[in-house]
Amino acid sequence: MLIWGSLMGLNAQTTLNGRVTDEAGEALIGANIYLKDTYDGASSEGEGRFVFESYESGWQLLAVSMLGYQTLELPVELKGGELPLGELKLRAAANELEAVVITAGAFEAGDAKKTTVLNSLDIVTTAGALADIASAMNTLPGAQRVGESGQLFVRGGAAGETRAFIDGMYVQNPFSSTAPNLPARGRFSPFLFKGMLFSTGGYSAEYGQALSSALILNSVDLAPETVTGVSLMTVGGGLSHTHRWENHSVAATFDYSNLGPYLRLAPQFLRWEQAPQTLSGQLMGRHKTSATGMVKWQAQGSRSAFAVESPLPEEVTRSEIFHLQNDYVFASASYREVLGDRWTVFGGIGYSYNCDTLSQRFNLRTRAHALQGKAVVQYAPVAALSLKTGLEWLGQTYRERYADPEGTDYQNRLPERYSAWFTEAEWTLDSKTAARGGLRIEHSRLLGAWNAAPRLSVARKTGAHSQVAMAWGRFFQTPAFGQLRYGADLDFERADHYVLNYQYERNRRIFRVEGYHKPYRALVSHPANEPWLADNSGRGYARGLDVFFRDSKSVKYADFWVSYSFLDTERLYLDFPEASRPGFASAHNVSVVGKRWFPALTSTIGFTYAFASRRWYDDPNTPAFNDGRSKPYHDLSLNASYLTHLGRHFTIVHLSVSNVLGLYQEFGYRFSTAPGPDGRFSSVAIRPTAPRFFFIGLFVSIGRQVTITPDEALDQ
Amino acid sequence: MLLLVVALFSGVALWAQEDSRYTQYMTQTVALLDTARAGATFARASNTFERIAANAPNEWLPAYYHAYCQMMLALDKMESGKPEECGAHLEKAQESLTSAAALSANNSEILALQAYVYQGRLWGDPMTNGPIYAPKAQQVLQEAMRIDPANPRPHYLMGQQLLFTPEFYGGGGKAALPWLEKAEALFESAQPASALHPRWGKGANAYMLSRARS
Repeated sequence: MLIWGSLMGLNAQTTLNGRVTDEAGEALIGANIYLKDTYDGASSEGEGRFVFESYESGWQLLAVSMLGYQTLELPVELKGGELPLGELKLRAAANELEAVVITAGAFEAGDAKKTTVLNSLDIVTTAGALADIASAMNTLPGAQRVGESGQLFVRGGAAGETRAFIDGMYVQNPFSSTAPNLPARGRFSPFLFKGMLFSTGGYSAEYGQALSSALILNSVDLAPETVTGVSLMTVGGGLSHTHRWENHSVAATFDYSNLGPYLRLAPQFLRWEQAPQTLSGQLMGRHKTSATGMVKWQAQGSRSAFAVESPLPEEVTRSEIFHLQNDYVFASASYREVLGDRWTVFGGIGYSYNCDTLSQRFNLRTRAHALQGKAVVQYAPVAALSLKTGLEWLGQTYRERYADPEGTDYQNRLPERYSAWFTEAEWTLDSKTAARGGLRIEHSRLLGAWNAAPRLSVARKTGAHSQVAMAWGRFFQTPAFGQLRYGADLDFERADHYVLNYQYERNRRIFRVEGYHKPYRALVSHPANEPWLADNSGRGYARGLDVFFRDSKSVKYADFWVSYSFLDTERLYLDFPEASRPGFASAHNVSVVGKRWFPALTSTIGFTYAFASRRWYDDPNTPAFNDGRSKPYHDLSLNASYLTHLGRHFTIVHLSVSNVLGLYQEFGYRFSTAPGPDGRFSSVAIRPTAPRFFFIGLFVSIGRQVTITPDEALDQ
Repeated sequence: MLLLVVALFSGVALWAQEDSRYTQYMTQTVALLDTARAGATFARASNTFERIAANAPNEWLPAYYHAYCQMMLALDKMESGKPEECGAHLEKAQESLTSAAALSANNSEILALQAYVYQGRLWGDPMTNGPIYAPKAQQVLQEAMRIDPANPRPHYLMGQQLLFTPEFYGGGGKAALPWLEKAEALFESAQPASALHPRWGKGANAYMLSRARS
């Protein structure tokens, strides 16, 4: 009993006390203070004070932890009696909620990340966007309204300077094929993605071959539930079925669209010989291979065709039928797994095929195959540092055949074998500063050229809710096949990005302003009508200011954002005789987007107002180059979504109208390539296809649980 | 020989002492939860459970209760009009719940609390998170009921979720009522496996019931 007594009694009681504060000395209440590997401890109370007793003795490790702060550990010696610890200061943790994120040049849109600007629901509910990703991104600053194209023009860059990536894989032809000056639509539904990053400059070394912008789309994981969807629209219909098992999900979608009935009802500017029709199908699978491993695959194919009266290039005041048929396939598979705490591996393969057959007095068929592979390894030796390196390989074959009644029969085939290696380090220096640096090295066999593209971005918090960020990088792109086809010996085109960004985000309100300067070098330039004499002597610049404000807080159930972009750009490229502003660029772009949810009506009503200032075009009838000016562009679009159910099936009715006010809209002028008998080049205004676009759609989800009762639950 | 016996005996005694400290701390802190209203009480209890969990790494209850306290703290933030501060508590709750689930598989109580955490995800941004987490929560609740049909908490949480779901999604007071009534009956007859096993939710269920009836 003596020994037993000594075991229990020899250790005298020590009383530990102190005060927990933050770095500024403000009291922290609710911190957990304890001796490690013992039950002894307490919580800090008023003024951050704590006191507790312990029967432990000798050196012990004292830990102080609190949500949002780094855990503090310090050795203390317990010798009985009082042990005053004084003031214990905790440092703020770089937790995800208020962590510094690299924002320069990037607009995050997604459901998973907290620093999102738009999510997939926003894209669907933005008036005028008609659930098209690119159209919704067009309401963000940095994007230019180019109504006749439908594609993304970013910060003085042409459409081809924006590239789309799905799960890290490059997407060839992400937009539908159209005739000149008919707007295209994206081929991918926003519901396929859980995260979208619209980068308007300075993006990561993981992405290349885009001089201006990267649209980085991350596809959804396992589908949440088994559901069947039926959609019925003014322009067609669709069926989809998703089946969910424990660790697998498979979805099949089938859509048919035919604008025929709609075009007969709604007034059109154009005469359609054959209304646009599209038949498309998609299969998608997700397989969870472990707690952290995921295999994703998808395949989609479509065929579309239309015939419309379109101006003849050599004499634009005369029209003839322009016929187009497009066949498209995109398939990809990827695997991602986290190994241990530190390693992440990714591997992906992709295939795409695009074939356009067009005719209008001439016949042109272009076919592009692309096969690609990508492997990435990511290693995080410590939480604050992440290293990434990867390889990419892309093989493309571009074929075309042109024939016209004058006897020209021309065939061409361009094979490209592109490979790239990239490496990148992301480092969180402290809770206020993060930096990302990378290098990308690319090789094009078609050009017989190499390039090295360094990238760097830094972000620093300037307050609890604000931060500044900068980005710099060098970006290369292989000239388009359309320019390479003439056989000239060309090199990569190049742009450098300098981006400075300030962001303030608090309580569902966000304000950001970003300035940029982007010099272009080595652009493809050639004398008028002599593209085979092309070289890389072109150059130019784009600079400007982008402002964005979004408020989802002030008005209950309402959300609105305003974007303003100022752009100053000039370039000497293609057949420009001197440096001037390209036709797609406008100096001022404004978007105002608003929407409100009406709970009593179970409806969302929204509007989008868009403005773009005058665009420049060259009138060959005047001696000066590029002195034509289009009219400023205004558009007001409205939409409404009504949520209801048909029987027990969840249903959405969607209505949308563009250009509600019926304003005159033009995007510029198109001139004949040859002068008429009077020596003048005739012209037509480039306008939308119709004064307005109406859309009515009904979307039914069969199988989505609407109501269950306790008895039904027990039956399952 | 004597020394060996003493050594063995004191070893057992130390072990017994550890065990009794676990029981003592758990009993005290679990009792604290019965009357806890303010965030500060849950914060203190959360700290204690965190300490207990660190010392009793094979017990699921401390981790479970730590998650529950974090959930209550998230609720407190929600009710005091700071939904943007819920996230950090929900993360913490999920973390502890995941470790509890690793210690005790197919546990009706852990699944019920998991559903509660999913419901919490809806608070910050119901429009975005609703389609993802609402079905997840219902699925987990049905699993919890299947494992233990007499557990009142999954029934209460199902009722609560339906009560706050808009009517056109199949929610509302009318849809919630049978669940909450069933939960009330189960709370009456509930026999927790021990004084340390979960017994929370009765008061909240009564409140939801009064809201569903009005």
